[in-house]
Amino acid sequence: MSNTKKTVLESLATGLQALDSVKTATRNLLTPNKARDAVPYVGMIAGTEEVLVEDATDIRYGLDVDLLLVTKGDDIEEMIAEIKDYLYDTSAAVNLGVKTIRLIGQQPVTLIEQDGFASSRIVVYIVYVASKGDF
Amino acid sequence: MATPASVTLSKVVALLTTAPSPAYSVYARHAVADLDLPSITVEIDSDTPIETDKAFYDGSFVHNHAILTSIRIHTSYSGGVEKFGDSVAIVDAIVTALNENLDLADGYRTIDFNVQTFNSEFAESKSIGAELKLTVHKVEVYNN
Repeated sequence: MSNTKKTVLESLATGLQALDSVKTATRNLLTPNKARDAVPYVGMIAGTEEVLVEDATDIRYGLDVDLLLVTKGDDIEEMIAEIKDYLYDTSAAVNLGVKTIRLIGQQPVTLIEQDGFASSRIVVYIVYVASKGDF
Repeated sequence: MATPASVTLSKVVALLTTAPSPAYSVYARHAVADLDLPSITVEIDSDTPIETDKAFYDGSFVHNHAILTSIRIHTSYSGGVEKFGDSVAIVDAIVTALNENLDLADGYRTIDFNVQTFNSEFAESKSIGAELKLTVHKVEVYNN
């Protein structure tokens, strides 16, 4: 299945938003106030596409994506667990139409005491194929 | 124009494409961007003309070419871990198919094959798996 960086991120957002612990998932970042209104919220920061293999018709890319998680207090534990389960499930890559998704790392949870919001960051590496005809 | 190398490539690919079990995809080159897993890729390493090997009183046969062929089994993309069980099962299926079809017809015959390695990373395909090397001779028979 041919993809572009945009379609991969949009598919990932759709997949994450279908999770019970996520209310809003978007390939774009929301401003802090809008993100807090949208919790449980996942925003994305995509890195630069790395060309892994190129042949006559296709290009296989690798892409780092940071998932920014924001929600209320301890709910972030359930959110992290469900997102990790989703990423570890091999059917996720199939459903997103990509070659593979690997969970690379996670940053510690940050809790903002005064307003009770918690945040964390999960880093994934996505391998996908773009057809040259799609450019 | 068909060369001994290109004919060997198509014959080996055709042989390994026939009802593979376990299922895998087959590609006639190592550098494949849209590489499915598991899969195998086949590419000719070298095509070396060799001198007359033997002659008989009623004729002679000539080993015209020794064609070294690389068969790679891919079970993971780079950064992952080789699915060793899958690799072994596919290697076993390939070895069985090669053993049962040493005569590739039209003067092409498998002379030797061996498993080179498991758990190797292949730069051309950014993938991990095993590799076999296959030597095919293109034999021409001359009857006097």
